[in-house]
Amino acid sequence: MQEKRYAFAAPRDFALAVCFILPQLVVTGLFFFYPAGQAVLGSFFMEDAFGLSKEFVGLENYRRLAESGEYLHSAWVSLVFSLSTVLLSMGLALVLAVTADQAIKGGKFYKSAVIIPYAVAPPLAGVLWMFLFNPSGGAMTRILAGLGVSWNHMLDGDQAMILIIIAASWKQISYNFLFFLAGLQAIPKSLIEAAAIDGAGFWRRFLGIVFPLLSPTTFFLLVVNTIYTLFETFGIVHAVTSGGPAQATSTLIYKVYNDGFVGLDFGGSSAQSVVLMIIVMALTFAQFHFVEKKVAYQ
Amino acid sequence: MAGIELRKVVKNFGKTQVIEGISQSVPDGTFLVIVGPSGCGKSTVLRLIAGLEEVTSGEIFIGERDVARLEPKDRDVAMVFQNYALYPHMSVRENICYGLKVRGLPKAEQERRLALAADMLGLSEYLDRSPRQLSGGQRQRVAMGRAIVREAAVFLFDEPLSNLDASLRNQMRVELRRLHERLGTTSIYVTHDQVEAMTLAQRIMVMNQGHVEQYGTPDELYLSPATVFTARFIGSPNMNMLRASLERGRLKLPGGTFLPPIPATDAAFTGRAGEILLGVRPEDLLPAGENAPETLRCRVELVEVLGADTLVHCALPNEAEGQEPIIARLEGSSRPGPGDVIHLGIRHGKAHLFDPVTKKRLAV
Repeated sequence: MQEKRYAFAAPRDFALAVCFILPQLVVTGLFFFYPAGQAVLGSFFMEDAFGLSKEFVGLENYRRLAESGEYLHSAWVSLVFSLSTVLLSMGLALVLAVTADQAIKGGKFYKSAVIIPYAVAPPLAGVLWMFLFNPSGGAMTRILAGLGVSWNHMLDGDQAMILIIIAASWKQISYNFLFFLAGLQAIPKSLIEAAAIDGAGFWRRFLGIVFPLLSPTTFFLLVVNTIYTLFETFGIVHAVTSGGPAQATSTLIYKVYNDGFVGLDFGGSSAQSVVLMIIVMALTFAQFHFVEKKVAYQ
Repeated sequence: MAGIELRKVVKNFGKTQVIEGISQSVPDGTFLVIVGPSGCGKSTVLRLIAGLEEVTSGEIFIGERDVARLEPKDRDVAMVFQNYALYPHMSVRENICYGLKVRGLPKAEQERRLALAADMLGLSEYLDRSPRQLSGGQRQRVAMGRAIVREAAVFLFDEPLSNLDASLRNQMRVELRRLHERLGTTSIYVTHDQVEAMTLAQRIMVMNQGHVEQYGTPDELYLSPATVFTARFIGSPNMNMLRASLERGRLKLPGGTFLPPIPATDAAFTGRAGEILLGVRPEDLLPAGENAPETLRCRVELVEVLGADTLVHCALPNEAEGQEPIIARLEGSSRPGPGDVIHLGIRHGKAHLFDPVTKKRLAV
C-alpha cells in the first residue's frame, strides 16, 4: 500500500489553495453571509422610521409576527400561491415532457420551443402576462370578455392571484420540463417494453413504472420549485400586482420587501426574512436527506 | 403453446431495409436460435415478433393468429431482455407477478404460479429482495421467472446470457435447456455466440445483412453449410477457406497438389472448370506422411495447446500471392513446433466446395 498523500504537503501549497478559493469565499461572504448575518442581527432590534436610533428588543419582532393577522394572511397567500404554482408548473411540464419523450418527428423543435420561456427574466415574464391580461384592452381580457368573464385583476384579488400563478408557472415550466425529460430519458427503454409485453397499457405503465422511477426527479423539482415560488417570484409579484389588490397577492417575500423598504420596519422585515431563511434551510436539508437515501433506485 | 410462422416479413428503418422479406416457420415447441453477427437484423426479428417494432409489410403468425398488427400485450408472448429489464422499485415477487397483476389474475393463481416458478429457478428465498440486492445470475433468473409465470405461447430471449461471466453463462445455458425440456414452450433465442447457438438450439436460423443464410438443425448447419457465410460463422475456429481450381474434373490446391478425383456422377462439376472455394474444418485436417501424395505441405507458425487437442496455425504456400493461413486441430499428442513443415491431408468426404461468385454450396 502506498502511503496516503495529503493535498497540502507544504504551507506554501496551502497558501496557494487559499488564493484559489478566496474569490469565491469573498463573494459568498459579501453577498450571502454578511446580509444574512445583518438580517439575523436586525431581527432582534427595533429601529425608528428615520433610522436614527435602534433598540435591542430580543424576540419582540418574532412575537409580533406570530400575532400579526396580516402576516398570517400573507403566509396563507404564499401557501396558496406556492402550492398552485408548483402543481401547475410541474404538472404541465410533466405532460409536455412525456409527449416530447414520445415525439419521433419534430422533437427537437418542440423541445426548443418549450425551453425558450426559461430565458425570460421573471419581471419581464410578469410584464408580458400583465399586458395580455390588461383590464383595458389586453388580448386575453378581450377573449375572456367574449366568453362572458369580466377580467380585472386590479380589482379582483382572486383574479390577481390567478394571474401571478400563471405568470410564475409559465416560466418555471421550461425548467421543470428539462428535468422531467432528462429523467424520462434516463429510464431504460427495455423497462417500458417489458411492461408493455407484460400487458400494461400506456397509463398503467406510466403510473406503475414511469412515475415511480421519476420520483427522485419529482422530489428534487418539488423542493426547487417551492424555493422558487417563495423567493424568485418577487419580481413577478412586484411587476404585476405589487401585492395588491388589498394585500391579496402579498406573498411572504413581497411582504419582507414591502415592510422593510416601503414601511421602513427593518426589525420586523428582518424577522420575516429569518423565518423564510429557516424554511429554505429545512427544505434544502430535506432534499439532501431524502433524495440521497429514500427516493433513488439506481 | 403455438408455432410461429413469418410470411414475407419486411422491416425498413427510414429508407434502410433491415429485414429483407423473411419467410420461415418454427414448429410448435421448438427451441430456435437466431444467430448472426451484430447488425444482421436478428434482434429486429425478435422485436418484430414481440411487437416492439412494427412490420413494414408481411405477416407473423403465432398459432392460428396473424399478430403482426397487434399490441405486444395481445400477442401472448413473454420476453427476457439482455439487461433483464427488472423493475428496480419492485421486489422480486412483484417483478415476477407484475404481468399477472396487470392481467387481473386472481391472487391465489398468482401465488400458485409464483411458487412454482420460484421453486423451479431456486428463487424462493429471494422473493422479498429488491433486484439491486441480487447477483447477475439471480437477476437473470428473475427475468426468466417473469416470463415463465405468464405461461405464454412463445418465449423470446434477446441475448439473455451476454451480461454474465463465462462460467455462469455455461451454467445458465444448461438451465435454459432443462427449462425448455420441462416446459416445452416454443422459444426464440437471439445470440451472436455460435457456441450458444449450437448447444441450445433444436433449430438454428443464421442471419446475415437482413436475410436468412440458412435454417436447419445444428448438425445440418455444421455438416453441410449452405453458404460460405454459414460455413465460416458456425464452428470454432472458423472453417479454412482455400482458393482452389478445377482442372479436368480434379481439384488443384494452391501450391500445386491435386486432391483425389471428384466422383464423376456429381452433376455440379460436369463441364465446370476454373476457380472454386474449398472449405475444410480444422478437425478434418489430418497429419499425413511426408511422401504421401495429395497433401497440403505447410509451415507451422503458431501452436495453441488446448489440452485435449492442439490448434496449429500454418501458412500454406500459394502460387500467386505467397501464402494462405490455415488452421488444423490435431490430437494432443502430435505437437509440431513453430517453423516445422508438416503435411496435412483432408479427411475423406469432408471437403466443402463453394462457388466463388455466388458463395453457395456446390453439392458434394
